[in-house]
Amino acid sequence: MTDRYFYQHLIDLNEIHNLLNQVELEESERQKLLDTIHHTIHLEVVKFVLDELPKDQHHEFLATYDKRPTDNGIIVFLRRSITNLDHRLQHIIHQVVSDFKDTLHDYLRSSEEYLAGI
Amino acid sequence: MPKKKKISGFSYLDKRFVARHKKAAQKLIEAHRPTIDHVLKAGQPLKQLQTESFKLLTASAISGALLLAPMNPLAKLTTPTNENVLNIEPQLNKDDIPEAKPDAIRKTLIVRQLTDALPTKVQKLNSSQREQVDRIINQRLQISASSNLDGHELNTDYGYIGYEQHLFRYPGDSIADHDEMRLAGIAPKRGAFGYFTSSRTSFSEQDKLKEKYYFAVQTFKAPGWRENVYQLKEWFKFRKVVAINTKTGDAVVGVIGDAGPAVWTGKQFGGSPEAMAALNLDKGSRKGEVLLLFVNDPNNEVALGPL
Repeated sequence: MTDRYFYQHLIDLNEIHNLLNQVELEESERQKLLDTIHHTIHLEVVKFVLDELPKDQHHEFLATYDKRPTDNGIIVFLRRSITNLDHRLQHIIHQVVSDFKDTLHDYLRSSEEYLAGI
Repeated sequence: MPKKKKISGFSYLDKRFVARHKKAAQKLIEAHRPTIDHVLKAGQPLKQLQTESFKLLTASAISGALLLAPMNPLAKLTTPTNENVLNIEPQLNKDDIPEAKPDAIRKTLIVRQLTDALPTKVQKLNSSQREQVDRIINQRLQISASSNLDGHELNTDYGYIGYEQHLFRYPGDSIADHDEMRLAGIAPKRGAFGYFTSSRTSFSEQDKLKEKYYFAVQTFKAPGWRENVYQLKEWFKFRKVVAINTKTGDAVVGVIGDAGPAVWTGKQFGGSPEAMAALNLDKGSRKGEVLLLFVNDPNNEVALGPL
């Protein structure tokens, strides 16, 4: 999933990686979880863009994005129509990542409680 | 105190993660169903949105043969095992697929016809197969193309293609000067046929397109190469070719811009980042089965780029 999308530079999954390192996982399991995170970010980003973009540009955006998801031109195109795009995208992504971090924290806490016999 | 049951890390996390993902898919579809329905019905694959949750939600909302794809909607549209596709070729009526783009119909027909004409595994085609393929390509893509041109041919015309990097187009060129798909990087050396032009000042739009849609072919394995290396190299240099993804019907016209890939790779052709994107082979393993034919275009009338 890495470097596939125009917003890739706004994603920081270091904390997620650190949390996943504390869970006993097969590599394939770890990858599946990371893929789900990326897919979720992806859907949230697309929703945000469609929310903000004028309707007559929806088709063009989806078609371009579908064919060339890494094209730098996409973000240039979006910056013209959506004010403060990078900051707002970063905020959306941060929220999604936080949700997953919370889930990981919940799990780790439950595990600690289990190990402590609580 | 009852003993607690240890929670399996993966199953717990996967369940929660997938639930969050479904929520995102549902939000997107609820907010923008008309747009998504419209685009999907128009034949746009929206492969970037194809996640399990998204597919489940859209499949329940949208009817039609085009929209029931399990993995890649475009592949579904063009896979011969699709009963709907089998039943509509070659007298496919545009009206049979509501709001389908002519482009999607053409691709469907190409795949259907090529499936009948091609052997089950990639290999050099025999004369009968070549005749059929030439006829299909000429009919469907409206260009004259064949495996043999002026008595010259490659080691194969039906093989695997892999993803290549950009090439230097003129002395001093860099990846930063390329306008698309920079993440693909640039090969450390010039292509086997040298720069596309001698200097930045002479760099034309046509040169730009040549690099954008270049192919690497195994010239060193072409019949007669050892005996006529200089003559053949000149003939192959920037020779116009067309590549057709035999699984999707995507096609792109480009030029021979490099020699390769190495035999040990198991691939017979290489494609520039843009050519691979045009062939719908720029994701996943970035490898696929293609036909690669010479374009008979003495008056240079066939434009470089996706067909």
